[in-house]
Amino acid sequence: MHKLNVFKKIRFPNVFVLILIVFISCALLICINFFTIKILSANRAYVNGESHYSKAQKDASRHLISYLYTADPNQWKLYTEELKVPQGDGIARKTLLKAGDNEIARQGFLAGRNHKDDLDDVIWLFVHFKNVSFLAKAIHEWEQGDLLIDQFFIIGTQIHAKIQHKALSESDQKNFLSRINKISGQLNINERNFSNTLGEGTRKIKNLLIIMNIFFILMIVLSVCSYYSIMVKRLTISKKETEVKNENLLLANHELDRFVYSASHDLRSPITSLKGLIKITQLEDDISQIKDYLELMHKSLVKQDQFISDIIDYSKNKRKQIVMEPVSLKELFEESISQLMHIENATKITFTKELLVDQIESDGLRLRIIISNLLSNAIKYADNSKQEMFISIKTYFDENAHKIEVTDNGIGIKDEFKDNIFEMYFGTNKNKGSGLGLYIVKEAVENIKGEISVSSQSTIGSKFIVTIPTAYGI
Amino acid sequence: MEFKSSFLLIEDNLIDQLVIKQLLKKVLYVDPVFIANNGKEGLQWLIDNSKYHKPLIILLDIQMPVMNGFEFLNEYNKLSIEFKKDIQVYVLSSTLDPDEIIEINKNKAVFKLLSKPFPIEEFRETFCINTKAS
Repeated sequence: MHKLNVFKKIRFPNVFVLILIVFISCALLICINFFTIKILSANRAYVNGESHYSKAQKDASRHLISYLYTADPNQWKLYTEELKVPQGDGIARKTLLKAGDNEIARQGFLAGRNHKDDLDDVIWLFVHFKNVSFLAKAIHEWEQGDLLIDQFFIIGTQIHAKIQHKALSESDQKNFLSRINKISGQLNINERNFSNTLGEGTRKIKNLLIIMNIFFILMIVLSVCSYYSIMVKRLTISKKETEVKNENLLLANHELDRFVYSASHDLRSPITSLKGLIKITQLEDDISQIKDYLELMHKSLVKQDQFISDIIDYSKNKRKQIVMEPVSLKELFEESISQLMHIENATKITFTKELLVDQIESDGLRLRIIISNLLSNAIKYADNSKQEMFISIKTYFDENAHKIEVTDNGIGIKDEFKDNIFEMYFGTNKNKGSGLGLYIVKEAVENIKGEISVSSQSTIGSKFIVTIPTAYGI
Repeated sequence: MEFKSSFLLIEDNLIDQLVIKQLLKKVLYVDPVFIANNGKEGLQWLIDNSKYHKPLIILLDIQMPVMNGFEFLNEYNKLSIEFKKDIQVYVLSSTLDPDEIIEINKNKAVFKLLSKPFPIEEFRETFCINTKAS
């Protein structure tokens, strides 16, 4: 039972922990997936932007070369237009590095032919992850590219100036061409590196994402599984508990049935005796005989009355809460004796009292039941054949407990019955008692966590000792 | 009419003893009625005296200290058929417990269950029919 209680205490937090794990796992899973998709989308936008960047740069160099050889102003115009794409990207990069997200950076990206819906992701990634290794590497390649674009722009300006002044010689043309080709070649490398780095990052993120997803899904599955197994276990335990309770209930019901039948028998027997007495009284003419019968009728009723009050004591003892209160043992004894004086021969008995303890802290109801029953037994089982009948009452303090002793010189208890006297309905002479008295005494003593012992010798007398603990309830 | 049978009453309640004794005396003119206070005393009486008092009718109570009616019947059933010849057992009880009533009626030694207070008229009738039939 104790183990079960401990388990009960533990299993409640357990379930909450599991639910918490599932909740957190789900939340993390959603967050991770959201941000990963954002990152991947931004990466795609960068790769896309790079392709515009590199295409525009290639077109620009093609137009510049045409312009170099044809001096067609149209080609020059096309060249400057195409060159705005990488230059816009360059402006965006520099602005983002220096000032973060602002209108100039966005304009730069738009000039770089990026789609306007991609701008948020692109800027977000740049601002938050510019120091992350793969992006930092890519930005570095981009920066290199931008520097080359600047050189490319300078060459374009020089070519344009020479053509405007008509100072372009053939060797100049060759010289410019080789420089353009050289820059284009280097730009190509930078552009490829940029794309490759981003691609590599994307693949890494994708792998990480898969691992994270698997991990969190496993966490959720495991948590849910253990949650269910705990619930199932709990259900089985509570089912078993209910079964045990049911069995106890059936047992209790059965005991109650037996009690009702026994009690009804004991309640009926004085009535049937009375009915019989009435019958024989009707057949009797002798008035003195009739008076004897009336006396017996009275006895029969007294017996029934006693039985009913025993049952009431039994039920009070069972149901009433223990109430610790100051009790006067002296008063209890005096009260009980005066109530018991109606019993046959009671007036012939000498009572001696030696009360070394009077005021104690205990349950008054139980003590009254105990004292009253012990005294009434001592009176009922007094030995009529003895010259002097006595009952001696003692209270004293011994071995950290209060003791009550009731001694008599009555008929005593035969050895063969000593083991049974505290059993329910046990009685050696049902003409005198219901068989409940000592059973109720024992229950009452147990209720106040005390003890009762008996020493008795047939025909000599009996001594009952009740031990009442002083520090009850610890 | 007169009863040739002797009567043994096994009963612990003193008032019931008196009532049954008086009823038998006044209504059926039976005297004396032998009395045992419990099953053990009853058994002892049977062993000591039954052979002098046949035919014998036993009136047996169930709830008794020392040896109750059921324990008495168990012991009684162990006795020889020869011993039990001409002995009839009537159980006299005020019980309402159905289990107990079934147990009493099942016992082959029990001739009839009578409920308290001793129904003297019913007893006389069954006794007469029984003696006439035999």
